[in-house]
Amino acid sequence: MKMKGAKKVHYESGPDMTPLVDVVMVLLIFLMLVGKFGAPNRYLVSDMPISSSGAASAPVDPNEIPKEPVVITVTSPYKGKFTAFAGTITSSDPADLSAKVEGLIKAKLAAGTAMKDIQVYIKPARNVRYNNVVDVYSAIVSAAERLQKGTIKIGFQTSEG
Amino acid sequence: MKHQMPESHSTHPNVVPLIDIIMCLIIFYMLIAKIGVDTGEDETIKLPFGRLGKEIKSMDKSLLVNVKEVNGQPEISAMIDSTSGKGRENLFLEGGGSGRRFVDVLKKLRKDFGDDFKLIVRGDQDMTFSVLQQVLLSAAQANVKSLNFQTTTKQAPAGSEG
Repeated sequence: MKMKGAKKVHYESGPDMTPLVDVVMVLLIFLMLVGKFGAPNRYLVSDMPISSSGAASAPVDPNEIPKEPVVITVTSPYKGKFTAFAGTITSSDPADLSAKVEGLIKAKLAAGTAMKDIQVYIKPARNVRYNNVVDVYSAIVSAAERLQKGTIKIGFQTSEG
Repeated sequence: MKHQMPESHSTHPNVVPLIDIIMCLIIFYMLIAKIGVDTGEDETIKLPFGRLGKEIKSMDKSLLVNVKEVNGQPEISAMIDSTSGKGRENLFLEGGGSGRRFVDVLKKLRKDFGDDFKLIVRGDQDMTFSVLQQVLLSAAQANVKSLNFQTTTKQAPAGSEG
């Protein structure tokens, strides 16, 4: 029985959006589940061969080892902390170390060494943690970047023992 | 003249704003999310923080190795052939283990890709240099020219260091 006064609904009018919404929802859920998110990664690049000293050794082409590299020795007096030495400089803070390494690079440049020929070796002690090694590495990279005269070569020296 | 909303509009919900938002979300996910890229990264490894460094867009001619310290010794794993479907495998510094020797894998890849071969080290931030050193020595033995240390731009929360 048809009720009097009931509204007449026009279901046929306009495009049917339901299939579109279905497909779009499936796509959205797929992307949300499959996609990987996270902070972007960076890569510290070392294109110098590892230089050996002490018991640990590796065959290295003697021509590839610089005559006067800057060697930064890194020790870890406390767990998770580091102290870096290079010539007369000593530092336990990445920002401070970066400023001091910048001074070393400037001295090399003043002595007539081209930026691309400056080579820095990091020589960590065996107990130095990897994140401290990365701190020292980053300090050297930032020192070179501040000078804006190109990049320098950074490598590693094996530690004694 | 009196305007009247069509009856159909008054009965259907308006889905246009919904579709607009969903489309924006889809485009966002398509641009940001990394889909189908598996380089064999061990997600349990805590990367060291580093804002500097380069971005590597292409992982061609490269091998990503996961390195962590277990009982003072390096535990190395990598996905050597992404097309084989084998996933990550453990690599050993010395021969005689159940898997391949790390240095042999590096030598083979170095031979296949030449000077363009890149070794990417995804190291745990808490491992000591004595562990990393063994990886570096293997790379030197295989005459790998390009070493890359993966870092993250996301700083670990304070007090999370072990």
